[in-house]
Amino acid sequence: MRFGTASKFALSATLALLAFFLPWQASLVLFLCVVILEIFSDTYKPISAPAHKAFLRFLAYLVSLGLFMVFINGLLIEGDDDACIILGLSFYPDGLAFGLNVACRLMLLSSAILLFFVSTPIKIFADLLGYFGLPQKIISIILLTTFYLEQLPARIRQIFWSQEARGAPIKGNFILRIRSFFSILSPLVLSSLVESVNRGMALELRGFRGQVPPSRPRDVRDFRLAYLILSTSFVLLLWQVWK
Amino acid sequence: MSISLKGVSFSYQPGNPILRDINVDIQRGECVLILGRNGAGKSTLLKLLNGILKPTAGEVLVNGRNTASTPTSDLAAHIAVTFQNPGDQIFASSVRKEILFGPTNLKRQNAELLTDKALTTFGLGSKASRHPYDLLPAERKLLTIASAVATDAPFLAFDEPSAGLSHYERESFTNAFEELKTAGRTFIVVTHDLDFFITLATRVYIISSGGIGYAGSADDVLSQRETLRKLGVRIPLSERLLGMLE
Amino acid sequence: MEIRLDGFSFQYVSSQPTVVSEVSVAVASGACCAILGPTGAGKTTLLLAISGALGAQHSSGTGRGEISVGPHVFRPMPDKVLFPQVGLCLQEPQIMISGLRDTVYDEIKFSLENISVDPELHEEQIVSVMERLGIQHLRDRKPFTLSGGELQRLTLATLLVVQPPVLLLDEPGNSLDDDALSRLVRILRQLRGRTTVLFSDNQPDLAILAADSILIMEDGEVISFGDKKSFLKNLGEFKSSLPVRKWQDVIRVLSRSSSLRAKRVKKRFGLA
Ligand SMILES: Nc1ncnc2c1ncn2[C@@H]1O[C@H](COP(=O)(O)OP(=O)(O)OP(=O)(O)O)[C@@H](O)[C@H]1O
Ligand SMILES: [Mg+2]
Repeated sequence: MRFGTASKFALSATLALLAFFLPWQASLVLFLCVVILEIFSDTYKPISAPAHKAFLRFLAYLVSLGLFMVFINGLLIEGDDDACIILGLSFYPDGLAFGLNVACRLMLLSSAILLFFVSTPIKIFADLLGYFGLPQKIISIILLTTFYLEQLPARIRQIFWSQEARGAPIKGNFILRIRSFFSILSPLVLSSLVESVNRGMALELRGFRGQVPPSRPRDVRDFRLAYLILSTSFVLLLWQVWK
Repeated sequence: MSISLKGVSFSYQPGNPILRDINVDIQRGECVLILGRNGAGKSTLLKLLNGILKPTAGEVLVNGRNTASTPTSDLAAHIAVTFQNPGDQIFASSVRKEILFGPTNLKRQNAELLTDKALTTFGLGSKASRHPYDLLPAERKLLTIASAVATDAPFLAFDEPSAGLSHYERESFTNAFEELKTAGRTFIVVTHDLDFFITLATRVYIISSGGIGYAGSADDVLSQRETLRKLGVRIPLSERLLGMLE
Repeated sequence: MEIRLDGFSFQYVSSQPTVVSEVSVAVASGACCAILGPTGAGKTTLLLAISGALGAQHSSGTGRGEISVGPHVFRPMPDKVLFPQVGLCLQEPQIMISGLRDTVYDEIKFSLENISVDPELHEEQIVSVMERLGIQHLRDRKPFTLSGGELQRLTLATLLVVQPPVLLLDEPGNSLDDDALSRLVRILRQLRGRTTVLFSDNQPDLAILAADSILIMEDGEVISFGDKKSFLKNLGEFKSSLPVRKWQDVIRVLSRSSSLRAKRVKKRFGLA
């Protein structure tokens, strides 16, 4: 079964929400679920190979950050219980538990949010925001900003090509790459500005006044499901707080 | 001194080749035109020449260097390529700096001199300190060409250098071209403007369905009307009428 | 819709020379007018002014005179974009791509969405525009990976699809191949009588094929304005600003020849 964008969003939001009140064991399991969803499910299929790569890289970063947190907290936060010695370092059980708690929640929270964005083209997300009632002007600003962000790496690559094609040995030379990156920064900003003014005019010339019509009609069943998921998790949350 | 393409193929996506088994040899002192329909792969071919794109099969040799294994920055001393859209390649904050970038990086002894020369040759002298974004589209096009010429590379490859240029710029362009040709520079020009370049050209290749649909000397090509028409090459209306009436 | 300019002048910055000065021309409703001239003649500024983009963008510039579009008179020019009454295709095609849509088809549809007709009803219209410009095979491609000529065709499509009563094209022939150019000529001819078209160019071919009247500009001033016949008769006067040498040869041959072919050509260009 394939979820629609809205229910997909609701599911991700629920997962992220759960991170706030589940014990770390459950968070860890859900975190693994997120990874499995990203890799195997149809609903959360990443939009492109680079997106998938970026997601995996982010996961690796999250996990190492998590381990680091457990490590540091275990070392530094003393509790009532005695320390256990591992590899000549003394770890406190309370510190370890606290570290695990924070790390697992953080891992679940960020991966759940990222899961949604890795598998949703920004335009579909904009549609969703529109259905939820966000003003069209704001949506168009979000869209245009992401458009420039999307274009930026391509533009930088083009300038690097252009510099290489005129004798600057950029490839494989890290220092030079960094240096020429800084040297193109201001022209890059300027050219982006000029281009955004021009493109703004071109958009106006095509009748665009900031309203972004959704690229596909709203799927009612998907929305019902989304509201169901969201309200269930809300009820769960209330129950948890009340308890 | 030569550029040779040996059995070159290229595709942007696997399974959808844009160019197939292209064999071309370009000797020093030539002026080679590359013609063909929109989307034939002309701009792609130019990007293969200086290693910005690498062939998926076959090899491109620039003065004996294989582009697959030579960094583009090393090839830059031998070949300068301009893009179809000037906005894709201009990055400096002034016209002069833009032109100076190439010769400085290539450690040309007379970088300043080369720059000044290119500025005057292409009529940009009075705009040297302007920001490239203040220029008109036609002037930006000239700026990319001037930047290529100033690198002092023996091979110059231009992507539609005359698009958007008006009568004036064309005249100074022709003069510059002749002068550079006499100085021994080699040209590879992608164009739809056969009328303008045919008098400067020595050889013509027409790309069609991914291969070389026609190769011949520039002197004969205008008489091959039927072939030109079939391969989708634009023949100027005046030329066509003259041919028809005579 | 008729387009009329009355003593229209414009300068971007008051300290700099005027880029368009004292232009007075009228293009009848449904006619096609070519604006020819070298770089910097003021062609683009003129088109921007009529479209309303100039008034909307450069409030710091100063204009004089008046521009009328159909029944509406603007002094000195419209201060907001007149889309969808007036459609302008800018000279650099990559600027016209919105970046808000992922495929060629959706990019064309985007123009329709903006005039709030139900775009789903217009599939036929979009497909027909793509076919007329020969880009139907590019339907699902990303606009930013197109070749130069393919991009130029796409930008023409994004405007033609809304069928504005006034169509302004800035150097539409750039980077088009033979096929695309003949398609453009065919389209311009089909629009005759229904759409008022103004297009700029720096060489005379497209104008001779598709325009009714020809406006020649240099340094912001009108050098000549008249029908095609008078343009072809007085070619010599424009040889400093336009590449007309070959055309002079054609006219010379035509005037000497009395063959059937020559007669047909003369008739075609209104020289009989
Ligand atoms: N990045 C890309 N990804 C996929 N396809 C591409 C990409 N760049 C170009 N193409 C396609 O490859 C083909 C050749 O493109 P190329 O730019 O070489 O054409 P061209 O001969 O220069 O055409 P034109 O006369 O229009 O400039 C075109 O069909 C184009 O759409
Ligand atoms: Mg090209």
